[in-house]
Amino acid sequence: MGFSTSLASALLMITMLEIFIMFVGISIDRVSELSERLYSANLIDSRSLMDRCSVINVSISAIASGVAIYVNVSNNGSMQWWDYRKVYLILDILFINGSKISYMASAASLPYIVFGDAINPGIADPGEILGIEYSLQGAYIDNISKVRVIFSTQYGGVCVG
Amino acid sequence: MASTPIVEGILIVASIAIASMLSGVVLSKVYSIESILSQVASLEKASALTRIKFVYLSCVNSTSFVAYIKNSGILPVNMSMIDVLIGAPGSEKPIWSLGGSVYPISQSGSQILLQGEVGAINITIQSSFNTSIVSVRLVYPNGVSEYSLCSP
Repeated sequence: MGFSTSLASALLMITMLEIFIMFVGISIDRVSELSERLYSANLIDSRSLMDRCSVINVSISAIASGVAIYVNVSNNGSMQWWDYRKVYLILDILFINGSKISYMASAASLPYIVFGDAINPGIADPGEILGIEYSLQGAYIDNISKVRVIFSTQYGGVCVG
Repeated sequence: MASTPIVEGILIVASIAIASMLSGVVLSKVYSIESILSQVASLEKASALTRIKFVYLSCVNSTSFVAYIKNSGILPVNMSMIDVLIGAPGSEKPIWSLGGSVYPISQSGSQILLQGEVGAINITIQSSFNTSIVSVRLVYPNGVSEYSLCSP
């Protein structure tokens, strides 16, 4: 009888310990996941603040097929180089007759050049200037009243020119 | 006298059986709670990793607008799940209540914005507003909303 009682007590203790360990494990898992989530969210929020740009210059020239709009954008953030597929140019073009059109294109889909390309050749690193050309087919330069340029960086920075 | 050990034996066996049963019930509840917590955590995680930025609002004319948004988060964003409200500043209404239409599209022609992509939400309303400034408010799938103003 003494042996049976001890066995029963041991089984009960093991069961209780198992439940306790499980609760502790689940708690640790949840705290760990929460910490990871908060860290990820903070990291995402800080990226757009660090990935900054400035529209330095916008110029328009008449070309044979229409109008070419040249935009120079400086990568003056502290994030990293820009992936051309993830940086976008938005153009708001107002014509003298009052009509307006809006275009959007990624830098990768447009002719581009990197000025001051000293760090990684062909890549717009921080401190370098990305020149993008947008061709507006069939338009006349005299019909364009205003051009607004919006540049969206890879991680959510926005600059307007 | 011989019956006492038998009774005690039966009681011990019964105790073990009841303890095992209770342990089983508790363990199954713990697993159930763990499963629910996991689901809540993954939903919260998806919400935390969804970041959308309202880049620019273009008033093409008094009834046509284009809202440009960027997926600056980690997870893909379905643009068709973004609610659009439009109107005079401070009194925006859902686009469906105005009889308007919304047509979201990315450069690749999809409604899904991948990480880093910019998409355009083309907004058309039936009649123009009696205001010189139009406000467009976007409500993202994670509940966050942003607005921008433009002048047709």
